Amino acid sequence: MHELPVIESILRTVLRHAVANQVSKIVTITLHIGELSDLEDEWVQRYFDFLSKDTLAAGATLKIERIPIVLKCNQCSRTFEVRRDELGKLGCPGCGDSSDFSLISGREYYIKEMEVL
Amino acid sequence: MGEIKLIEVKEGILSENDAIAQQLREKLKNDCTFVINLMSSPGAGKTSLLLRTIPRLKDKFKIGVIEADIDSIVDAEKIRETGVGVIQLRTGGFCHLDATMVKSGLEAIGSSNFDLIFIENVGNLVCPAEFDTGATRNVMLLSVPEGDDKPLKYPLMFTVSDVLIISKVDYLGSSDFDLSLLKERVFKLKPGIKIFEVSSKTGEGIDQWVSWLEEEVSILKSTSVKELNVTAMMAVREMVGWSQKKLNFSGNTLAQLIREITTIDGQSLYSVLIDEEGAVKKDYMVWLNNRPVKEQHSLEIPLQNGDRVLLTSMIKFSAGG
Repeated sequence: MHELPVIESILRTVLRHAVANQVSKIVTITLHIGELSDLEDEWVQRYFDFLSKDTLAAGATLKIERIPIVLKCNQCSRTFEVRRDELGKLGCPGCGDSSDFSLISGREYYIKEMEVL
Repeated sequence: MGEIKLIEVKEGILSENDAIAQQLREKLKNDCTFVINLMSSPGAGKTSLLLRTIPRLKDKFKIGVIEADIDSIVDAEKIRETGVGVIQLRTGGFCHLDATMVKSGLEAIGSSNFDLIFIENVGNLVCPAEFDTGATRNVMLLSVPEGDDKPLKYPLMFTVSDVLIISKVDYLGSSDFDLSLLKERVFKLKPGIKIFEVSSKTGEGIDQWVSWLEEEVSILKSTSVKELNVTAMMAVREMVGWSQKKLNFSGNTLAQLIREITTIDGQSLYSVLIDEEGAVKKDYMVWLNNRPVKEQHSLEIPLQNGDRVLLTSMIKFSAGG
């Protein structure tokens, strides 16, 4: 829904790093997006291609790595991965407790790295 | 063909927004303005809740509302009728508010003049969750008719909320909404989230919500930095080494102020001026805004920005005599 401003932000950031590193072309950009966030992969690439025309990032491929939701049970200290459609399943797979969890990962929303020439 | 190099970027995609939000948060804290970012799906009851909440608090706090919900011309009118300051943000049908928009809204309303500001975010459970607005608290509404599986469908929104208000609880009897299941699901995503159950229609639960809000805003107000004009005369002047000072005081009471002021040799003025019962010693005088203060309970009065304090003795201090 708001992919455009998000892509603009990504483009600004990678171009800043490209200029600082005297890069001639950006080949790939790797994003880490947690499973709790929404980002439509196909549209992200299309918007990016459109906005990056005539820049150092033109033609770059966006690689989106989805970071899984990992919860930690504060009762038994066990960490476990949960799929988004499994969020309804209550209870730690280790001790069965369903009252005390911490979110370890799943909210990531950052640019990890880029491959450049 | 050149060699491909790897450059580590490691920057948040929304880092610009986050930076603006953080700055905003600092400013609001310094201004002692409590801002609530109110989020929900359309029709969950944000406006109705405000119409119930504002009358309860508007005599205590200066309240403002920033309307951003797309259909909110009608809402803004209803809110305006309660007598508080309202402005309407033109979002152009955008799906959420970000820190830049909120910043301009706060500037437009003159936020530093307000104690409490409600931002009615765009009715949407997806996008607003991604954007830090710089608000003091994120409050989301979930109405009973929407169902208890919303945490499964929109987990991020619950993860970023400090408070969850379950609205339209007057529907509980006639629906299969499982309140305890909903709470378990929510606590999994945001342990420690504060939950209120309300009905704007019947008034149920509004008291608890309003009490909580009142306390939170009062706590913020009591931490404000106040600029005070302090005058020291006679023996006190000789002890502290100055006769007039503009002090930025972040404490609360006169007693605390006296504790903070030190003599030239590093001693707190408190033991000099105040006795064991907490009252002003008989050889000294403390004046607040041209009124003498003597008793312990009077020293516990909270100070306000611009207050004038006079600290003086009755006897002139004479060295070597």
